[in-house]
Amino acid sequence: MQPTWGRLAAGTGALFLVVLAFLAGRVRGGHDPALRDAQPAGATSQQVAPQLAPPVTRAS
Amino acid sequence: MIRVEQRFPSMGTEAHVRLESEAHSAAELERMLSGVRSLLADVEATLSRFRPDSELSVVNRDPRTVVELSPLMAELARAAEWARVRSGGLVDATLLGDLQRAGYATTREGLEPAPLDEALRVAPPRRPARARGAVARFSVDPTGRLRREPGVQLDSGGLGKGLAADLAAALLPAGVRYAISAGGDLAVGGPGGSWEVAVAGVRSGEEVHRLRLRPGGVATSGIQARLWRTPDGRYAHHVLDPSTGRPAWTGLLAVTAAAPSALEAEVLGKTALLAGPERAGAVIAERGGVLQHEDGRIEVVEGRPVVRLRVAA
Repeated sequence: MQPTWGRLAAGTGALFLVVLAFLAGRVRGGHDPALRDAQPAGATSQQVAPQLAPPVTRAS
Repeated sequence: MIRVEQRFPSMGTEAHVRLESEAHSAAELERMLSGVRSLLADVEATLSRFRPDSELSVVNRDPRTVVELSPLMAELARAAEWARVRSGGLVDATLLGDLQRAGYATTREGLEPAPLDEALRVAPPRRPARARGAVARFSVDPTGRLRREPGVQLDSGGLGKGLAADLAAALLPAGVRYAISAGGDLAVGGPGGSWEVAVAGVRSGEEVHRLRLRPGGVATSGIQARLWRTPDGRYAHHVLDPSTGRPAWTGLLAVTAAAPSALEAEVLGKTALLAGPERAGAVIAERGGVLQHEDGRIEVVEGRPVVRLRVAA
């Protein structure tokens, strides 16, 4: 059976909807792939050592 | 990374010691810090001119021209001799009599300095300081004896602080990163790269610049911290022009200098302060520093870049 332009468009649309539904599910679950490498703010602040005031030179 | 840190009174001002290490325990670092503190106390006990029983005071009262010195006192005398040569005669540790006549005979620890702007308003015309024409000669022989012309007395001043910071740094084993400040003269070094050191502003006391330093030293010489009103209504400070024996008013309030050691930084800072605004930048050009001008300008002098040669095997 020869594919028709109509079938090709329908298949592409269905695939698009499946991928869209999958990504929507990921985003709703808090796993936005666009933010995959970012750390929650709290975790970042725990990993950085507290900044110490530098030693000071002054005339005495 | 284990870190210990302590501030304590020392040499009429404040010492600040920070030690860091990944190779030593906290207890070991505490012991090292205790050793640093002891050494600074020894330096003060030996070299303070405000303690009548210090070796410096005893030597200065001694009328003899040849005097045996302890190793620490000999170090100071050698440092003073070297500083005079290094500074072209501007850093002169034999001006003790002039300093006392200017009004700095007793410690000014805990005393508020006189108002800077009022002192600047009535100060003499600004000019660079100059070396003395007739140098008061002294030297230390290899056996640690001071040989001097009659009447030569030494002042430890800033040299003692720079020397103390360097000697304290020399106590520490490899693997310890350190910043040791003896009254603002700092020795910095150890593993872990460069140190950042804040330069305090003369007028505000707040940070005016931050220097990134290679291992070595940094020191600030300035006129404001020891500034007083004289009985005749004028003002004096402790940085003297060797050519006149009177306070130097050059147009600079303070100079911060970086150098391979705290002692050399102290000498360079004072030399630049005395040399005045025209020449100060050149004096501290090797490792850089900061000039604080009377008009409030903060002039940063960049040090020369480090050139590393890599030789192919």
